[in-house]
Amino acid sequence: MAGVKIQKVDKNFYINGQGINALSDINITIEDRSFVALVGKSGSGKTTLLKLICGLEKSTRGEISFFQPPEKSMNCQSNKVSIVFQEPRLMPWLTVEQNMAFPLIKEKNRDLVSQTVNHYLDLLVLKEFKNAYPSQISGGMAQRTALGRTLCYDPDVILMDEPLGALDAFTRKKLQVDLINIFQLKKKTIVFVTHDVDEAVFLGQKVVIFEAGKIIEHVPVNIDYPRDPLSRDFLQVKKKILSLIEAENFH
Amino acid sequence: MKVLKCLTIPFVILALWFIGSTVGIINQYIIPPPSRVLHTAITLLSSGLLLEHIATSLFRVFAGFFATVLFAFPLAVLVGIKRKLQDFIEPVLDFLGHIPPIACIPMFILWFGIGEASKLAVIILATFFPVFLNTLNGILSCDKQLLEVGDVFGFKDRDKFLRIIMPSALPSIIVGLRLGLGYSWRALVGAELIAASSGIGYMIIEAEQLSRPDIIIVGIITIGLCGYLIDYCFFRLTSCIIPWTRKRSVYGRS
Repeated sequence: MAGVKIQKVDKNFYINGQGINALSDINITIEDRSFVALVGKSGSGKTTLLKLICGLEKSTRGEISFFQPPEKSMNCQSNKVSIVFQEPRLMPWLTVEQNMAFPLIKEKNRDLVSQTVNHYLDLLVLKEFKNAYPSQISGGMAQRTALGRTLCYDPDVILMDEPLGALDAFTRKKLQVDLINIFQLKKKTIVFVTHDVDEAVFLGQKVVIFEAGKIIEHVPVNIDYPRDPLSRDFLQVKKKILSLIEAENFH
Repeated sequence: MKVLKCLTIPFVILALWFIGSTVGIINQYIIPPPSRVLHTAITLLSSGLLLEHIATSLFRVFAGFFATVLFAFPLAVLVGIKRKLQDFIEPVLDFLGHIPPIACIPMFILWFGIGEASKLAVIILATFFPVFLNTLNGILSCDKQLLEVGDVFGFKDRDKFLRIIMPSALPSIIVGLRLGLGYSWRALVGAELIAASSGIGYMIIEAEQLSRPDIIIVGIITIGLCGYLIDYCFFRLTSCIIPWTRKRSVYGRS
């Protein structure tokens, strides 16, 4: 269990000697066991922020820290972070089952590993294909395997970088529902990046709007799961987000 | 059906050869008729002479091949890990890569005599480049995105090397070994043609001195067949190690 506190984070890149300000003055508090959606155009810095959170990149300024919920005892603190990438990034030489066990390579108790893997194979409906190689399965199955792999690692914070971006609308819808079920079942902290406002409102308890490396607004979504994308509350939130993005673009 | 297609061209050549010899268009002293070549092949086989030459050549190839793998492979891994070594090694290899192994035979004979050592040296020289370069290339071309997956799951460098870099390099390593095996077979026969007292190459050069074109043809066909069989066996053995590269079949819906 862990939340993430992001304070005054800046990130500059240097491309051909020219500085590019990818993120400036980012402040977000991601509560423990909450589902936060980051929404914005491509190039607005969402992915960069995820890379900073999971340590693949270092921030230029500012601080990213993890905090434990107060009720948790001090001696069992952990803040394992993992990311589900935009591409499945499965190991082509491993089967679906072996790919899911991949992060648990160091685990001595192999019974526990196969138990964990089997649990997620069931949950993600991959049991039938557990012996298939990544080249033999569809994009949706590959992305579910990648999600299963991250869940097997059992992180406290799961970062997701447009994991459903490359999927067709039907598969995407189904995985969104799966994701909410897993979120409610496993009580994880999830940070989900998307450029699809519908998806952000469908999934997030809080939607953070990015524009050109800055945060425009934090929009809470107080609708119970499962959400109906045609309900009045849903459409209201969606309208608000869209108008905020539009207002920013007309400046 | 595929076997039939494969056999069409050899059959046509054989038929032309047979007809040409029977009609008398082909000079029998230059190209003996197929019947005589077949007869010679049977004689050489039944006397055990042919098999003896084949065994000698094969033994040299495998000995040389394994000797090369034993040092080319670790060297490639070392250069793959320590990128700085590349600057030292690359120009030297680019230079050596242009020298055909056969060109070094006279020097090897001066150094090692015409015994086994000079043959091994030729094979090692011929096998080294494909094995080394393909292993190195396999290691260096590992997908950065997969390495990031290792980072995300907290893998140490050692784990990343063993669990991600090596398996992803495996298909390329196997291609290198396969090429190396083929190169070493060809280089060896070349070496035996120049200096040897046994082996398939020696059998051919001896037949030239005895004016026995039938034996030469048997020798050439044997070289081709052996090379083909070595390659086929190697391919069969290694395709079990890398099952994920087999032809793709898509498993139903998502």
